[in-house]
Amino acid sequence: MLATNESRTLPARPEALEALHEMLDRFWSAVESARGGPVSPNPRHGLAIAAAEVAANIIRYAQADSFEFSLTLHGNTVEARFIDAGVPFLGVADGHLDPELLAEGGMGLALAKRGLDSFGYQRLANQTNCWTLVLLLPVPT
Amino acid sequence: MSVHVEERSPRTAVAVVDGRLDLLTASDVKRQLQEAVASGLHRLVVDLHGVPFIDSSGLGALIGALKATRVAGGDLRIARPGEQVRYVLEISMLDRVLVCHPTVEEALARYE
Repeated sequence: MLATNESRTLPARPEALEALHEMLDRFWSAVESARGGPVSPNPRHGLAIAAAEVAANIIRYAQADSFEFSLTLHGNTVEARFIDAGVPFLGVADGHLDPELLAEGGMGLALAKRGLDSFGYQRLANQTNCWTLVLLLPVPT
Repeated sequence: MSVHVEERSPRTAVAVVDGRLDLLTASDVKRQLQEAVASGLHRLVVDLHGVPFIDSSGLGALIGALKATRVAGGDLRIARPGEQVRYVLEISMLDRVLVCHPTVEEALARYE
């Protein structure tokens, strides 16, 4: 059965990206079924790139064994959440994109923010990292 | 993921990339594109028709290859990007430096 809320624990390794994309595909199918129509491509692309970049950040830097990835639809709001028990994120989540610099790295989180309505990081009291990605979908017509 | 480099003239090649271009595959793609440049193919067209998803690591691989072509006096152009690739190039503003063309032939024609 298609679910508009789904959560999985994935290994903090590059191979997890395949499962992440599969989860996103299943989730969007469920969302479209629940809303009774297709979701336009850009919100889907925005969430996919943001989720992939946050996952990549955890895989590269968090030194965690795994992370929990959850997707939820509340009304017209999609929330994706990543939780890991790795080291605190000390980078800049508000990165800058300048194409003229021809930078080969360091643009992931800046890119993640571009397609979302809200993007945040918190170090929680239980010593876990929590990344929250929010996307507001257009009201179905 | 696969990269197939096809030489079209002594300095020009088309590199056909298939599969996701992301954290898992970007370093391999970058290496293969840079090997093509090092072998004298300074004018590259990268055909991304078979790439359903690109992330910042994939963009980094393309930027790395672009810089290698420019250092060698050439250039790198993108052909046939899909919807997701166009979206990411646009929001990153890298469409200003990674110039896209709807067909491989049109991209090659810019080198003539």
